[in-house]
Amino acid sequence: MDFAFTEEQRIFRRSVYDWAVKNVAPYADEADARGEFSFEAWKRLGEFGLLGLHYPSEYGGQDADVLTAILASEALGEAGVDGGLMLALGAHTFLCGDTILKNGNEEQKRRYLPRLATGEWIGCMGLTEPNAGSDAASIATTAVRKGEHFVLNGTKMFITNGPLAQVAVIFAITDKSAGHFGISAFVVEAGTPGFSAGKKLDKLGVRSSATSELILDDVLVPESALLGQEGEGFLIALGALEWDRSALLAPLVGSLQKALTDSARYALDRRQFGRPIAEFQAVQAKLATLKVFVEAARLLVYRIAWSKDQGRPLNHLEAAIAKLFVGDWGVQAASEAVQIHGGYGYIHDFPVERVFRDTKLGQIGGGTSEVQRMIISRMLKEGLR
Amino acid sequence: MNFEYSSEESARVEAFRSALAGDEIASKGEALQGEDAAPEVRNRLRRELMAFLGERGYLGLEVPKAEGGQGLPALAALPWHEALAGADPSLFAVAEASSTVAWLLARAGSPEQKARFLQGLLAGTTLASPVLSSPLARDPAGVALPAPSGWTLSGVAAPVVNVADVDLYVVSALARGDGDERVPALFLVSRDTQPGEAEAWQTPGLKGAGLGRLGLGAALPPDARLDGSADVPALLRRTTEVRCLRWAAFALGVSRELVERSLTYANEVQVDGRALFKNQEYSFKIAEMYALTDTGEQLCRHAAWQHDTGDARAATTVRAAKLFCGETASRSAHLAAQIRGAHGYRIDPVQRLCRDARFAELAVVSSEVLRGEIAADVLKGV
Repeated sequence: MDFAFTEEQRIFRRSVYDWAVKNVAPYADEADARGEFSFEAWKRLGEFGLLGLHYPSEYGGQDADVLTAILASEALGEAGVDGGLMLALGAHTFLCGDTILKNGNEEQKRRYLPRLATGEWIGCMGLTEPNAGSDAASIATTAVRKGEHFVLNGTKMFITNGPLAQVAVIFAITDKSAGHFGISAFVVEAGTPGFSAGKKLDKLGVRSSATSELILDDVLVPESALLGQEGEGFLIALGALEWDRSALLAPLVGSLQKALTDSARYALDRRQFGRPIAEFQAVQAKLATLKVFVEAARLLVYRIAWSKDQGRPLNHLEAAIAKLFVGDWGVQAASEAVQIHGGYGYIHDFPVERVFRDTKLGQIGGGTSEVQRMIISRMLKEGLR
Repeated sequence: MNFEYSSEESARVEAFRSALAGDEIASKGEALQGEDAAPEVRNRLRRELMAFLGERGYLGLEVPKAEGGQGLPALAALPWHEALAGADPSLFAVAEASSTVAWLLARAGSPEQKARFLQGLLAGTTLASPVLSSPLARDPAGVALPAPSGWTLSGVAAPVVNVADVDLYVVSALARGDGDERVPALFLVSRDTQPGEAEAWQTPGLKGAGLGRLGLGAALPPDARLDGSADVPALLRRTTEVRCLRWAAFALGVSRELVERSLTYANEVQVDGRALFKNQEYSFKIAEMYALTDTGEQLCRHAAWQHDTGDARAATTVRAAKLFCGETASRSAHLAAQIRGAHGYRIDPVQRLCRDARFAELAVVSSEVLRGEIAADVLKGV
């Protein structure tokens, strides 16, 4: 057992943090307040190579291991990059790009990955539907074979990057009688007739990410748009969800590290009853809660990254624990950060307010906390540990 | 990075776990922890079980090999502690106390002191307990004044494990130095020097651990001082780290046992024609217990690794691990009792585990003190 990072990983994480503080974090407040995606911040992420960090260099990536990619995400969160931009990065790089990387043919990889890695194109993934959230297998979108084409019909819901994306990975039923093995994945490009995004949704947190419905109305795609083999969609979706329970959690951990640092500074500066509030045990207890959360949460996320770097299939139990812990306990930790700031924690001028709103998504997106408890209890019952 | 123990390390712990589960040892452990065992029966069982642990090298896990121990780093010792705590929490407390004395002796004892006590401590034939703090504070337990025949030791200490039946104490005390200043010091106090008055407590849990209070009043020979050349504050800080890690592992071992027993119960008991486990009100509680225990395990291992590698952040992460794991044990105890409904209120082995779990938040450094220390570390770092 060894918890040491390589020298390269440590240096890279530090460089991402330093760079992001100056070059990306300054966009966060305005993007969040306006609820608008920052193309300028996005462009900078692409220029720094953070949009396809773990893709092979032949597809425009940096050949990084998963742990390095996760450290970079954590560093961005800690630097103060808003949760919306980080969610956009996650949906783009991992849910869309990595799904193509892992399942696409050579032609698909060469067409999409270099464009995604630079940020020239934005990617998204369409799995969730109005009536199929955590129960992903119950999707209703259909893909009916028509000669050498498929015709897609249905509606996708809560799709991060939906209104912006040039390319989407879409899951649809190709054989209803085959259950889980009747779902297939397709790559659909924006501009395809019948394919459109609905109204952008106004959200509580992660406000700068663009979220919408995706509408598929007799969308005709060639057979070559099929990702992997017909019927492999559910397994592909599970693979994509791995990232929801690992890389997409890392920025939350980073942002709560920043909330801890901000709260400690505030507690030292803020004076009440003639002394800094940091001297009150009630405030100290909240700082301790935040600290313990950050230390624990990052280990759970690193463990998944390490496991992926060993080439192992996702350990669903470990992933569910990470998702549950970062989601549920993260909200508690963020709430403590707001509480330390008192009234100032409740106004937009202080970043902890944004972190509090952004963190809430950790309990919902990529499988709610209740679903994670279902997964954990089911695996315990079946002795899968 | 590597998040796994080697297969060799895991196999050794599994062998230890199996030995603990053997009929004879398990039944002795059960009797030790029983509600109504007579003190003399408990004393006998403790000694028999400690000899068993000594034979398996448990009592010198972290003692250097050159001193007769196993020389394991703290990280490698954690699963051993978890295994013992899950099997027999009271025995863990007794063994942890004796191991701490062995650990201190190995690091700060003179050759004569080691020759006299260390072998017996490692074999489990000498039982010992550290007496490191006063009842209401983290100050040293006593005061030591120079006397013509050596030292006069006075003070009050609590909680002390196995208070009425140990052969040897290590007592921390403020000793008068050359001038008027008081310096922290450690003293070896053997039973034959009549160290003072031991008062065994009635406790809700850890009934086999013999917790109590020790009123110190001893005349000690000059060679009783343990720390001739050691930096005592540094040694005590290091000792506290090691003990916090062990008690964090205790919390995890008890919590894991509560998960297993809750899982069995919820699968076996039928309500309205279906297993209790089929209700999310119950299965989700078990999921939470498991998730917290697993998270605590990662935190604890990372803290131990930092401790072993001399990382400057180790003090903070060890505190975080002890705090989180202690609270996890309490939470698991609450949930496990709740899952069993009214049966969770009966005196039985699970209820006993729930009471044992409570001590995890109190041992060595309480959760309240840990929070203050962690906050101080955070505030220093900004």
